[in-house]
Amino acid sequence: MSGALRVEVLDALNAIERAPSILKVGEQVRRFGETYGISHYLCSAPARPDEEPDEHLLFHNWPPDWFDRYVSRNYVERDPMVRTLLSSLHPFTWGEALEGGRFATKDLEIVHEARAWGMCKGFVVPIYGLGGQAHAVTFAGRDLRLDPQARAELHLIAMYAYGRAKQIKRRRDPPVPLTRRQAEVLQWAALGKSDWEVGEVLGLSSSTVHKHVEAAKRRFGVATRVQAILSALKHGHIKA
Amino acid sequence: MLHLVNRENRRRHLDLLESHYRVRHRVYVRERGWKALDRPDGREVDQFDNEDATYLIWARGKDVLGAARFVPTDKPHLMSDIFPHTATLAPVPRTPSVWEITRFFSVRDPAGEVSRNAVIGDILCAMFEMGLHHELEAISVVCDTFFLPRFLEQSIQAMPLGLPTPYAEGVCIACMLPVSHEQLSAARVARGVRSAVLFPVADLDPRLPSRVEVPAHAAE
Repeated sequence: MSGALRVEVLDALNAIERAPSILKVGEQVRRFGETYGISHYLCSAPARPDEEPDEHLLFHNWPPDWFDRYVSRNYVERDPMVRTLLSSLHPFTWGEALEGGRFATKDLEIVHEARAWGMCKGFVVPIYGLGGQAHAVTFAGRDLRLDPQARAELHLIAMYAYGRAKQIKRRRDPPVPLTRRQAEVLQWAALGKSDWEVGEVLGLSSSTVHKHVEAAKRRFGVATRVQAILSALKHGHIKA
Repeated sequence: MLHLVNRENRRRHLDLLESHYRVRHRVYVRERGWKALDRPDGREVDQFDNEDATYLIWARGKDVLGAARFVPTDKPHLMSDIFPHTATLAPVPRTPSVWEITRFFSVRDPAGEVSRNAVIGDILCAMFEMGLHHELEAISVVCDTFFLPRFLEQSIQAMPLGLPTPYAEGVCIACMLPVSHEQLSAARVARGVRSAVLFPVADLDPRLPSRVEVPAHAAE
């Protein structure tokens, strides 16, 4: 059973909400986590195979060589913590995730390797944002002091840190709205169709199709048709 | 379209309320497994579904696609009666100027025309419009913790009243969402609309017809 909301936690939440950059959000998380023996933190969502490894990375202080090793060996596909995350709504410790022994020895080695960087114990807070990807804030350290109060406090800190970091990221990369027609036209253009062909499919004249493409280019602030298609993909207006 | 159903007009909306109780049963009892709410008649109705409740119900024709229920906190409500232990920072709010939101959900549109985010976004915009009209200070909520980051990442401010607290079906948290033009504006940006979703804030009158056409952008 968790207890009261301490004033130290409220102070940390206030500092997180006022943080001017994603980096500063991370610093506040580190400062708060020290109380519980946390030395490392990471907020991200596992990248899918078609995404850059740091596509969803918000803030972290993972040791660079561990991060590189993790990425270059594609550990995200086998990491027991990622697999546990994808089926968890609620926070869990690394120890809890490994109970039941459902992971292969070679996959468990990923967890063991992290010890070399001082990450012997971990606590993962799953976060389901609007985008649909399962994000998580992971806290790690040599020895974590995690009673129910600490877990509840870290859960709260993780949610506000994620929320603040996303706010800042959204402001930096504001979503570009497209009209339905612009998105339709770009979807067909992405399949290699000419303006005339798109026009035949959608029942528009090719000059109207051209105008929709030009309008979409202006919205994204790009010069070419290919760039507009790539931007539309990135913003989720069309499918690959 | 969004419907506002309250004490004044509920008699005209009994069918809509009924279908919304049935969708709630599907969402909370069958899908989320809240067994305590199960009733043999296939409706999900509790002690807070009374004359004090105001509902925002998103329906296309007869299909209820989402809803939320509001109760003034000077009346019996979820936080005061069932989850008072979730608020440790301050006493549970009990004032006509704070309304509690409960049973906030969306479901997949069987026709695939309206996205769940659109339904949720419309209800959030309408909630702040309604709050401003009634000069509320805040909307209070006891919700599953996984809802909270979605508010926060859209710049909708939520102040915790306590720590995340386990309950029978998960982990919940008590929060206050201040009612302000900034909050409405954040909800509108998140929804991608510039103007009123349900009614012009200053023009809301509970005696007016509650059926208002949702602008075309809502049907995406």
